Amino acid sequence: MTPIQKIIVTAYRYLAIAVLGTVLCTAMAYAAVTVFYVFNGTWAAPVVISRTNEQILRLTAEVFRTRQAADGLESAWQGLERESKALQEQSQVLQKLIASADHAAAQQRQADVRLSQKVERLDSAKQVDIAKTRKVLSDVSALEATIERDLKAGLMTRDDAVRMRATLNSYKTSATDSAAAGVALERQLSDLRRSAATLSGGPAQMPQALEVLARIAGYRMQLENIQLKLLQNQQEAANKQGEAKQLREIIATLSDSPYYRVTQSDEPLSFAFVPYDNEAVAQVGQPIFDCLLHVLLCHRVGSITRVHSDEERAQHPLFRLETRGFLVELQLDEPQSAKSRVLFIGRAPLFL
Amino acid sequence: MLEGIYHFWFYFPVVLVVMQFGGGLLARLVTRAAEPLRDYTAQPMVSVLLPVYNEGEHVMETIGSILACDWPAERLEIVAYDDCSADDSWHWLQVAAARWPEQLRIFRNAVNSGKHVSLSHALAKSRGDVLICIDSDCIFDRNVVRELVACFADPKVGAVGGNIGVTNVNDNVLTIGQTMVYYMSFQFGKMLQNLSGHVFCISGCLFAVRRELFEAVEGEVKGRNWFGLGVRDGEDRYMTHAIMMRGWKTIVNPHATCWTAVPRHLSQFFSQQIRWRRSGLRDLFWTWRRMPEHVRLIGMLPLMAALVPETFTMLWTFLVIATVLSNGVIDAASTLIVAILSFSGLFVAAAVLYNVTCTRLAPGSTRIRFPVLAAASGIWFFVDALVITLVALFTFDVGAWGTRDKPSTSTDSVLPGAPEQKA
Repeated sequence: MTPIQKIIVTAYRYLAIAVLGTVLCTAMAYAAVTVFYVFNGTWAAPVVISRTNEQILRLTAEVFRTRQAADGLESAWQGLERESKALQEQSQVLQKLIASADHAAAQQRQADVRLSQKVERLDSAKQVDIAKTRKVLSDVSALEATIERDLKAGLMTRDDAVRMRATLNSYKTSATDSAAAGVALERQLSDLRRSAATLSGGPAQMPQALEVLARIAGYRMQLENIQLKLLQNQQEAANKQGEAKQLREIIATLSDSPYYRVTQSDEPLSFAFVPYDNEAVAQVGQPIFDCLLHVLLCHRVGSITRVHSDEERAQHPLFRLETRGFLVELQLDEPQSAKSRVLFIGRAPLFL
Repeated sequence: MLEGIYHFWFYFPVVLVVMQFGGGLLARLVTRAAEPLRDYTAQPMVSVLLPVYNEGEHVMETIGSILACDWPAERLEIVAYDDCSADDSWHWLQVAAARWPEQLRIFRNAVNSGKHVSLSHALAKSRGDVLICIDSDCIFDRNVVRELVACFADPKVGAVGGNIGVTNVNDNVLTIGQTMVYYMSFQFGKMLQNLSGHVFCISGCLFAVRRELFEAVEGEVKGRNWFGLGVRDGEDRYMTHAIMMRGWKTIVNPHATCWTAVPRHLSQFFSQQIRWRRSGLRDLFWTWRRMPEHVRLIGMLPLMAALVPETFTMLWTFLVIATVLSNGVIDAASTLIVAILSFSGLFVAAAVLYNVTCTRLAPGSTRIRFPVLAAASGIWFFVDALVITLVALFTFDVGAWGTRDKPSTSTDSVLPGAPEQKA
C-alpha cells in the first residue's frame, strides 16, 4: 500500500465508522424514543397560535356576527317587551272601560225598568185624568151652550160670558195638553221598555241601546285583539330571549376558544396540544417541564392555567400522525419553551 | 407534481423488477435467449475446480454428484482445494480422494486465502480445456457438464453459467424468498442479457470458462485491490466482467442446473447479501469508471440494462435516507409500506409462477408449499435497499468468506513454511 492509499483507506474507515455509527445510533435512538412515546402519558406539544392564523380570522368574524345577531335579538326582544307592556296597559284600560260600560248598561237597563214602572203608573193615572177631563169637557160643552143662552137671555153680562168662555177654553186646552202629556208618557214608557229589553240582551228594539251594546262589543273586540297581540308578543319575546341566550352562550364558548383569546390578550399566550390519551394529567396548576433532546435534562418551565375543551387535531411530535386531543393554556416562565417540540405535564419524564 | 415524483421514486424499484423479470420472461417466450447455440459432440477435457471451506461431509455429496455426471470419466477431473476449513472438510476430502483416486485430486492452502486464491491454485493443478468453477456445496445435475461444455461450440463464448436451484426451498420464509429470486434471476432475469451475450455476472456456484481465458484473467482477479487492500469477494462477477471486456460472450444456459442450499439463518443471509452487494457496487464503480470502453465493447442498450438497476439500487438508499430526514420516518415509512406491499404482491405472483413452471423449466425443483409466505420477502426489500447497500458501501475494506465460519487457527494440519499441502 502506498502512503496515499493508506491515508485514503484510513479516512474511508473513519467515514464508514461515522456513517454507520450515526445510522446505528439514530436507529437506536429512534427506537428508544418510539418506545418512550408508546408508554409515556404526560407529553404535550407546544402550539404557537399566531394572530394571523386563519382560524383566528374566521373565529373573530364568527364572534362578531354572532354578537351582532344576539344584540339584534335582544333589541327586538326588548322592543317586544315594551310593546307588550303598552298593550297590557291598553288592555287594562279597555277591561275597565268594558266593565264600566257593562255596568252602565246594566244600570241603564235597571233605571229604564224602574222608570218605566213609574211612567206606567203615571200613564195609568194620566189616562184616568184624561178620561175625567173628557167627561168634564163634555160638561163644559153643555156649559157653553148655557152661557150662550144665558147671554142671550141677559142673564149674564158679556164680560162674564167672555170670562166664562175663556175659562172653559182653558179647560179645553188643559184637556188637550193633558192628552198630549199622556201620549208623551206612553212614548216615554215605550222607549224605556224597548231600551230595557235591548239592554237585557233581547231583540234589538232601541237604536240608542243597541248603539251602547255595539260600542261595548267594539271595546271587547279591541281588547281581544290586544290580548292576542300581547300573547304573540310574549311568545315572540320568549323565543327571541331564548335565541339571544343561546347566542350569548355561543359567544361565550367562542370567546373561550384559544384562537379568540389570543386576539383579546395584550400579552402573548402560550398553548400546548394534549392528546386524549394524556387527558388525565392535563389539569389547571399542573407544572410543565421542558427537556433537552426530547426527554433528557428536564426542568420546570411553567404551569397549566386553563384547559380548553374544544377538540383539536395535531401531528404527533414523533410519529407525524394526526392525533386527537385538546389545548391547554400555559403560563411559561421561559417563553422559549413554547417553541420546543414537546413538553411534559406533571413531572419530568424518566424522572431526569 | 412533486408528490408524483416522490411516489414515483418509491415505486420505481417495483417497476424495475417488473421490467427486468417481465422482460426476461418475454425474451424467454419469444426468442431463443434460453436456447444458446450448443454442440454436444465435442468432449474436451473438463476440470472442475472445487474450493472447499467448512463444508464438512457434504463435500462428499458434491464430489459424488460431479462424478455422476453424463460425461466421460476420463475427460473429467476434480481439483479440490481446502482453504483451511475449521471443520472436518479436509478429512472428508481425503475420504473422497481415497474413493475416487483417478478423478479427484485434493490440496490444501497453507493459510486461509479466500475463494479466488483457491481457484487460482486449483487452476494451476488442473489439466482441463474447460474449467468449471463451483462452490463446494453445489450438487450437480447429471447433464450439467454436458450442457455447459456444449455452449462453447460458439467460438465467441468465453464463459457459461447455469441455473442455480435451491434444495431447501421450504425451510422457512427466508429460503422461500431466495428460491424465487434465484429462479427468477436465472430463468428470466438474465435472459435479456443472454440475448446480447453480455451476462454481467455468472454465478460462482457454477461458472464454466475456457482455460486460456481463466489463465488470462486469473492474475487480474487475484490482484484485485481497493486502495491497496486485497479484495476477496465477488470474484465471479469480476471474472465475468473481465472476460466480457476482452470481447468474449458471457452467457447462461438455464438447462444446466446445480443445486445448493441457500442460507436459512438471517445472519448468514445478511452476510451473504452484503458480500454480493459489495461486489456489485465495486463492479458498478468499475463500469462507470470505464464507461467509454464499455459502450464500445458492449453497446449502449445492454450496458444500460445492466447499469440502471444497479445504479438505482445505490441511489435509492440515499433517496430513502433523504426522505426520512426531510419528511420523517412515518411519512417515508407509510409510502414505503405501500411499496413493500406492492413488492410483496409481486413476490407472491412470482411464487405462483415458480410453482407453475419450475418442474418444466428446472426439472427436480421443489415446489413452494405456501406461496403466500413469499409476501414476507417484501419486507426484505426495505432492509436490502437501505441497510445492505449502506453497509456494503462502507465496508469495502472488508474481505471474508461471508456465509462461512472463521478459518481454522490450528497449525497441525498446515505445514509451516509450506505454501500448500497435498494429500
